[in-house]
Amino acid sequence: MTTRRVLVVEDDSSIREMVALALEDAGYGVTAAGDGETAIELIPKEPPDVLLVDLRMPLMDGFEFMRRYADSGGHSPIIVLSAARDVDFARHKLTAAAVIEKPFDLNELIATVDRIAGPATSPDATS
Amino acid sequence: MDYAIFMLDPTGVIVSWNAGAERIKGYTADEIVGRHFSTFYPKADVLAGKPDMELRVASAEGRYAEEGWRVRKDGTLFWASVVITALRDPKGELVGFAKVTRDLTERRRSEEQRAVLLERERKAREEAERNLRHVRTIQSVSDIALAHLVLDDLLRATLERVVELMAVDTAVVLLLSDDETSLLATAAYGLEEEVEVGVRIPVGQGFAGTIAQERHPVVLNDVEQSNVLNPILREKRLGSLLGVPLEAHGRLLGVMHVGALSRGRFKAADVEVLEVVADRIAIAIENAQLFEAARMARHDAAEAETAVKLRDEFLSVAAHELKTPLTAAKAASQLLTRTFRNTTLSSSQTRALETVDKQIGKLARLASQLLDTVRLESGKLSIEPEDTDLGEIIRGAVEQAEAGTDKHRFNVDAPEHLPIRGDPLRLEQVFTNLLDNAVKFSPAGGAIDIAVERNVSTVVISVRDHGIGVPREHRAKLFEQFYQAHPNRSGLGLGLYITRHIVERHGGTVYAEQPPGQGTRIVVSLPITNAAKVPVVSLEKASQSA
Repeated sequence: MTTRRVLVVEDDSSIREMVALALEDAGYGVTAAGDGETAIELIPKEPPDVLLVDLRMPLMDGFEFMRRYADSGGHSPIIVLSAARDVDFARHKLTAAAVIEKPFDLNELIATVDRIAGPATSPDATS
Repeated sequence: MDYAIFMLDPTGVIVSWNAGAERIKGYTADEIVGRHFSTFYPKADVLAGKPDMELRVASAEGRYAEEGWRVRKDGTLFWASVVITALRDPKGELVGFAKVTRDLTERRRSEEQRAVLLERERKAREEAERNLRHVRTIQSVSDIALAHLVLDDLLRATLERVVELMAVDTAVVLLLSDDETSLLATAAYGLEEEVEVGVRIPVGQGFAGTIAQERHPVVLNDVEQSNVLNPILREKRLGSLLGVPLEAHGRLLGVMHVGALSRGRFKAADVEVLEVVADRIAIAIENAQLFEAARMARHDAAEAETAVKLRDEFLSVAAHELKTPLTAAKAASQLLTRTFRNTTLSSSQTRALETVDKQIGKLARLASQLLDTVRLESGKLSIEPEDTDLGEIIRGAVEQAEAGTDKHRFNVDAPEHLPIRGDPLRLEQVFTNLLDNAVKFSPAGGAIDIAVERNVSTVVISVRDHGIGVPREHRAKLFEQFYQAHPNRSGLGLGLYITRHIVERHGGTVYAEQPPGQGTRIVVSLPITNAAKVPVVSLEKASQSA
C-alpha cells in the first residue's frame, strides 16, 4: 500500500492547517509549507503526487512557485487555490490541473484532489 | 486790383492821395491830405509806435514792407500789403515817403478758408487716428482677454494694457460678490494695494458702488470734492476718476475704473472708449468664469472618479481580507461535520454545526458580491464560457436554496438537461441570486416557481415568488447597484446588479414583471449557442491594466 502525498503551499496558517487535517483525514500523506521557498526545499525530501498552491503569497507568488517547481523537474499536477475568480484565475486555468475558488467547499476540494491524484492509497502506486 | 498810392512827408503826414487810395480806404483827398498816416493803423499799433517804427526802417534801409491790418474810414479792418519807400533828393536828403498799399482782404479770406479747410482736414485725420488707436486699444484688450482664460491673469494683463493705452495712472476691476451686495477689488494696476487689502465696496455706496447700482458710467473730474469713500483712492491723490459698469448679456459682473493724477482728465470720448473696452472685458470675464466653472466641474469629476477608484480598491482589499478568515472558518466547520459524520450528534449539535456552515456561506457570498461589483466596475469580471448544462446548474441552485429555507416550496418546471454555452459558475451565481431574491421578496414563505422554456435560439428562465411584489416604478431599479427593493431587508443590493451583468455578458437579457396575482417574476433569457458572441475577457488587456 502506497500513500499518495499532497504538498499544501498556503501562507494562511489556519487554512493550511484545516486543509492538511482534512486531507490526512481522507488518507493522504500531507506536507505543508507556509511559503514557496520552504515548499521548494521540502519537495526533494517528500516528492508530492499533487500540489495545492495558494495564488497570493508573500515572498513568492503562485506563478513564481510553479515556474520554480517546473524548473526543478517537477511534473506532478497542481491545483490552484484562488481568492477570486479574476484574471489570475483565468490564467491559471490554462496551466493548472484545477482551480478552486476560496472560500472553497472542503468536500469539493477533497473530491478534486481524489480526481486528479487518484485515490489516497493504492496498492501499486509508483510515483 | 486797386493800389492806394500816396506820399508822406518825412514826418509821416500825407501830402498826396490817389483814386485807388480813396476806393480802398474810403477817404477823399480833401479829407486826408495833411493828416498823419497813423490814421490807417489800429489803435494798438499806434500806441505801440508801429507807424513811426516803419518810417524809421524805411528811412534806414530804403524800404519797409509788410502785410498787416489797417483801418478804413468807416472803422472796418482790411488786410493790407504795405510797401513804404524812402524818397531822397540828389544830395541824399530825406524828402518824404511813397507808400503803396494793396487790399489783400479777399486773398487773406481765401487763405483763411484754406487754413480752416486744412485745419478741418488735420482734425479729421487726428480723429481718424484717434479712432484707430481706440480700435487698436480695444483690439489689444480683446486679444489679451481672449488669450487669458484664467480670470486673474486675464484681468491683470488687461488692466496693464488699459493703463498704457489710455495714458492713465490707475485701473481697477471690482467684481460683484456672489450675493450681489458688494464689489470686491479683484485686479488693479497702479492701485495694487486695493486688491491686497481686499477692498470691499457695498453696492450703492461711494464711487464704484454707485456705478454698480446705476449701471451707468460716472466721471469725477475733481476727486477731492467728490463722494469717494475708498481711502486708498484718496491716498493715491487721484485727481480724476472714470468708472463704467462691467456687464455681459445684461448681467452686472462688476465695475471697472481708471484714474489720473490730474484733475479734469476725462472727457466724453474717454467714457466711450472705456465703455467699449469694458464690454470686451466683461465678455472675457464671463468666458473666464464659465471656463473656471467648467474647470471646477472637471476637477470635481476627477476627484469623484478618484474617490470611486479608492472606494473600489478599498472594497477589493476588504473583500480579499474577509475571504481568508472565511476560508479557514468554512474549512474548519466542514472538517468538523466530516469528522462527526460517523458519530451520532444531538439535534442541537447538528443544528449548531449547520448554522455555522450556513452563516459562513452567507458571509462568503457577501464578500464575493463586493468583489464582483468592484470587478464589474473596473471591467475585470471574467466570464469563461464552456459547454455546460443549464438543467444541472438550475437544479444545483434550487437544492442550495432549499437548504436555506423551510418556509418556501420550490416548483421546478425544467428539462433535466439543457446544453448551453456559458460560464457554469457565473450562471449558477445568477440562479442562486434569483432564488435568493425570490426568498427575500416573499418573507412569509410560499411557492417559488421556476420555469424554463426553450425556443429556437434562446432559453427563457423565469423565477416567480408570491410575495410582496415590487412597484412598477421600482422594477427597473432592481438591477441597479446598491438598490434595496424593500427597506429592512438584508443584503447589499448587489445580487441583481451582478446578475444583470453576468446575463448581459452572456448576450442575454433580464427584467422584472408583475405576474397575475401577487409577487414578482424575474425573467432571464439566454442565447443557447452564442460561443462567438460571449465576450471572453481579454486576458492580455486585463492583465496589463491589473
